Amino acid sequence: MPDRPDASLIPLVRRLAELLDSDAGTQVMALMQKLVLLSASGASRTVTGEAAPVDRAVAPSAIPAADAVVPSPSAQPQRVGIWTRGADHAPWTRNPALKNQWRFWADIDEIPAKGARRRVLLLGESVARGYLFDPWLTPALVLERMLNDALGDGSFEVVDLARTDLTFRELVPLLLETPALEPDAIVLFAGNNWENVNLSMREFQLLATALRAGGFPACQRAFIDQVLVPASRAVLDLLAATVQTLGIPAVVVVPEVNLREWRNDAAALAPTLTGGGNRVWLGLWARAQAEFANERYEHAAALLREMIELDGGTGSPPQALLGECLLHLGRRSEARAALEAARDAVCGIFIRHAPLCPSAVQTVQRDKAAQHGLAMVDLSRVFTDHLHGELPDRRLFLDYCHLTREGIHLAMAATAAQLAPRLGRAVTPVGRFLRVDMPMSPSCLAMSHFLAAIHNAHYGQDKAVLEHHCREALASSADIAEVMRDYLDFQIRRAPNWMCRSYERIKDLGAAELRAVDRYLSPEDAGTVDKFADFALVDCIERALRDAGVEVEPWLSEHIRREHVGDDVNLLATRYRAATFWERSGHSTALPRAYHQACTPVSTFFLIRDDSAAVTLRLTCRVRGSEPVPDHSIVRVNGVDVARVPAHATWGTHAIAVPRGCLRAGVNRIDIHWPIHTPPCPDDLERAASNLERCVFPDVLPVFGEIFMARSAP
Amino acid sequence: MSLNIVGLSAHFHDSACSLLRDGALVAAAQEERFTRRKNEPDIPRAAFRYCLAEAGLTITDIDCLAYYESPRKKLERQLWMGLPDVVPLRATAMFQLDSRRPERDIREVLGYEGRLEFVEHHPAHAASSFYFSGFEEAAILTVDAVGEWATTTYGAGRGTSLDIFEEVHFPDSLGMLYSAITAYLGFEVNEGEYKVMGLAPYGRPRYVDQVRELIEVGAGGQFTLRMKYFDFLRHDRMFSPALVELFGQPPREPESPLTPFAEDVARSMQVVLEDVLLDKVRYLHSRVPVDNLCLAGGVALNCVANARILREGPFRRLFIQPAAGDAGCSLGAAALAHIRLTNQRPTPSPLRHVYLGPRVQPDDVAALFRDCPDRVQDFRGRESELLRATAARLAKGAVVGWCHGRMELGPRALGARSILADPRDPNMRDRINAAVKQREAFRPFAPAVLAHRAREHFDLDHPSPFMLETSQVISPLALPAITHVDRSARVQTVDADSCPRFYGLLTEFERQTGCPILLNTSFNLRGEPIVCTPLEALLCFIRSDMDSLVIDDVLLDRAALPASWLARLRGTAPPPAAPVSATVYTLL
Repeated sequence: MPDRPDASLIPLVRRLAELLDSDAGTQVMALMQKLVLLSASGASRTVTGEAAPVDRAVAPSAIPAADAVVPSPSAQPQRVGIWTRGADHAPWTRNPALKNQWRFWADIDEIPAKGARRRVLLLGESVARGYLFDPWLTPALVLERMLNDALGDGSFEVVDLARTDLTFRELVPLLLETPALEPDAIVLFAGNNWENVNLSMREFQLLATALRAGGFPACQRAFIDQVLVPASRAVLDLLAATVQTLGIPAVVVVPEVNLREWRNDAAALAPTLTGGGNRVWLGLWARAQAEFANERYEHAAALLREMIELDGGTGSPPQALLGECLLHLGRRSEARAALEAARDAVCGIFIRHAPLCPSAVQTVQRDKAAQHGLAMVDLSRVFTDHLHGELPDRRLFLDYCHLTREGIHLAMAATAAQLAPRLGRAVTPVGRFLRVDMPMSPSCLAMSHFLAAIHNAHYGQDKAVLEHHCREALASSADIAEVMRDYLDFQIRRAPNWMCRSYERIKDLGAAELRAVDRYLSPEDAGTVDKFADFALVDCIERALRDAGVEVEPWLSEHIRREHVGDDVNLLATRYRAATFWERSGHSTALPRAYHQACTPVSTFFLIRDDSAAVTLRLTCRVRGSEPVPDHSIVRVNGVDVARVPAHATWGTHAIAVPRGCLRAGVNRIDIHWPIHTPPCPDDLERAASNLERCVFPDVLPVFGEIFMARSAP
Repeated sequence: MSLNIVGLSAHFHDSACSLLRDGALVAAAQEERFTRRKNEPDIPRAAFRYCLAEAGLTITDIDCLAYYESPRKKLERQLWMGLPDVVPLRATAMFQLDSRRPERDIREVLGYEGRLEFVEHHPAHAASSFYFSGFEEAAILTVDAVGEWATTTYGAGRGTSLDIFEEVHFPDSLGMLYSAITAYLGFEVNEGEYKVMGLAPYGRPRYVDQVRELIEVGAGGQFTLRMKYFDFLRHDRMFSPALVELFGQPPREPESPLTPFAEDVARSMQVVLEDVLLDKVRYLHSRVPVDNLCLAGGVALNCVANARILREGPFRRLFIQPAAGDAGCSLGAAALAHIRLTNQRPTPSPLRHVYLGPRVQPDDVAALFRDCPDRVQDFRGRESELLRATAARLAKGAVVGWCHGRMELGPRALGARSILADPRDPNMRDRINAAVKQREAFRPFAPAVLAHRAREHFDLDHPSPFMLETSQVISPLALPAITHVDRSARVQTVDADSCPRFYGLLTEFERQTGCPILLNTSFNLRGEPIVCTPLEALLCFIRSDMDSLVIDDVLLDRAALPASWLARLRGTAPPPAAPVSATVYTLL
């Protein structure tokens, strides 16, 4: 072969490039590449676990087929999670080279070599870590105590291998490493993160095809049926093969979520619908909310069902409100179905959302447990029984999926009951395990509730939930008031938390608390200083403290003003714009933009002032797809209309005078109400499909308005 | 109404954005400084926003946006290089044969709606040098890895006009040749070339014949790579087994100890590069017989070669702007667009400085340290005292992090985001390499010197404000920390106009010590982009072994650091960002 291509062919490639130099040409080339590669690569998820060359770049976590990779009992992996095997019979120790991962795992310096005690491995995600209780109280600690106390002889040990943010990418290798610890049983308590599958090129194409054929509802179905369910099955097959090879039992704990109270971020209304359906959908939504407010639940339910028909089950809010209606109407089982549908609505349509185990994964876990003869703890049933048919709520959940102390106790008691006979003990009723006490100090309980208030706030939950956790915290221990005041101090500061004395004071509470708060309140990257516009949470904390007799005013208001009053304020900065994770990073997993995209009909900003003097807002914005319908966006300051801004499809820059008296000293709210009749751009779905074809996540939500610049100046 | 033109480099490596306002360069920055991912290739969202904000503009104020490459011509080359496969199949080729991506990203990601101009890559390089040189006429040489087709171009600039009259085409590329040897020596492509250059003086030119075997120097401006030694056409690697066979040694494993062989190969590569460049510069002068030469392209960052071109070549004056690699193409693209719109040269003045990036905002510094005022010394309104205190620390052997004013454009720290030290200290080089920057021991450091004192210490008869050429150290002072093994140094001359506070510090250091020179190296840890913000400077300071930190008017000593900050951060590294390919140029 010549060492370089023939130069005489250059005119031909010039002509070819000319023909390919278009959107269609680009797609033609990409499709030709795919066709050749996919037809050569065979199945996208290969039996060796090594992705086919074409898929390697986009599907590094392809799940291997169980029969091809399950380890032999004599295999001697040198690593399990972050722990490395010690020499001879020395304990396993945390690998310093993996220090940046330690925060995701249990605070266990060493895992002892296998001794005489029966060893249970607990694998799972943040729920299994006991998120927000960890390290004071974890499911592993509770399970071990229950087994030893209830069965009476202290002969059990539970090794905590749960990892926050565990996905298939970490779970598969972890399963393959488990034999190294010589377990006598394995408990798998996971599923909330399983939606986070690394898609292969073939799967991206599959979803693109479905999207073109039937919009996001079809895309969602394709994802669940052809990606999520097969991947979940494969992982459970791997678990079964592992325990069968080792000759040990396994317990699958099927997760449940906070159906009664958790609401997906309100900003994630519904994805772009075909045929301009979003305009109709929004109209119905407004009417349904009004009917609900007037306690006309049947009427509201009818409107909501129309919405669900329109969005094909991809909109969470109508399902959730339908659930509320049905509860008011006393139709509990229908309400549960609606609330489960609300939970599942966000699965597989590329909207960022809290980890939630969807019905499809729960079903796979139940089916596979039965197929392989694995023991199962179905938390849905356990909790329903415990609550006498009521829906699970704050009694069992701190947030979306993380359990309260009571929730952990119930889940682990049921697990212990499954384990006991499989570890050579008599069948033992759950009640006996439930009687085992797991003490927890009031200060730790208070801290957990306070962390829950913060966590819920950053997921956009209702103020009532935040207030509940603030009050529970104060009720658990009055000492938490100092922590709450310190939080107000460092969260409002523009410096990173670790530079604040108030943060140091919290860390100085004690060794266990130190580790806990640092894990929850300090970003992994010390350079991250993007704090939230936490003003709703600040209000809740201030009110709860005041009610508990702790006054933080006027210090709090002065503190806010000292840190944030400025002459020229960039309102697009996170600290003046975003109260939640998704408002900060965007609701969509698509390419981030150089400008702000409003996925809700109203965009809100906070402006801190030390007086009521007039200011000028400079706004560069556009409303995509609005022409030729003339309309306006309305700018409101503290609820008062101050300007009507023409809604154009192209950028326009506007100087908006906010007269003296509209603003006040302290936190001011600026709302931009976008014209909600705006139809989505007709090519949005095609653009989304094209992105999927090139393995890029698409824009999913309709965009009401876009802002390039929003500044306040005198 | 001003004329505002944005220039963009993106989608290969070192993406950047710059802004010309009425022909004056008012802002420019590389995207990596914002994303903290070294050599960031993605469309520069943050740099774009920064440039507009710096000028007080919004997106509606842009008259034209210029992109630094012709996507269609690049596609031609991509298709040709994959032959005989018409459909390239390697992993890095997937979705990369996409000539629509630049415009798609500009419209969708940046949101820009207005006039869009595409300029070719090497003209952008050439323009980035000539139009900012201040020369009325000049010969122009651009040398890099590859643009669309061209890898090397020869041109002439006069007034507004810029004429490229000869090109060398892909795959014949001096940049690719140097990068192939860089990869063979176990360094990261597109990053380790500096290391090869720094390693060269340790070696002997024992492998010159082998390096010459890799390239056939032709007549005029031409040369040809012998492609049997290279693999970048068909595989995701730079060199072939034949190259290994030619040198008789296996490739060096990354991070393995450096051997005399590696040093000798580096030296040989440097010698051949310089010889070829000199030959081509002489050819260029034969075609454009003027006094001034403008250089651009990644190879123009080879300051050893630059010095030799000026010393032994036919041109009397040399101009290189310090972002000579692809980041600088954003300047050239904007300049060419300016000419298309106005038929006028963007600026007649030479580029005096490149402090074009984000500035340290006093309000941000105040907010950063508001809760710990006792940890820092605040010199607001007392600049001379700050300089005295800083110089005193340097004189006592302290290593000082220096974050002041607007960040530099380009890979060189020039006194805005610098680590400074006393160049007379014989242990300083090893200390900074090991404990501060945490990098290879052989790597040299550069001096910054008061411009009017430069001739007394360096064999240098002209200003060198951008640290882009080496000269011999002739100082009566012993300067071991900045003197390379061959007694060369990569000098930055500092004058009072372009960087007054840094000039003031050098002056004060000279007053206290008699030495008008400071060791000046970039403010970053290994593998991390140069710091941009005060917080990044503080983090780098805590993580490293520096003694003091100056952020604008605030001075912080290590001894005053809270124990908790050290406990949290000492010994940690910035979170790893997904690296841009370190083994091969992502040609697609």
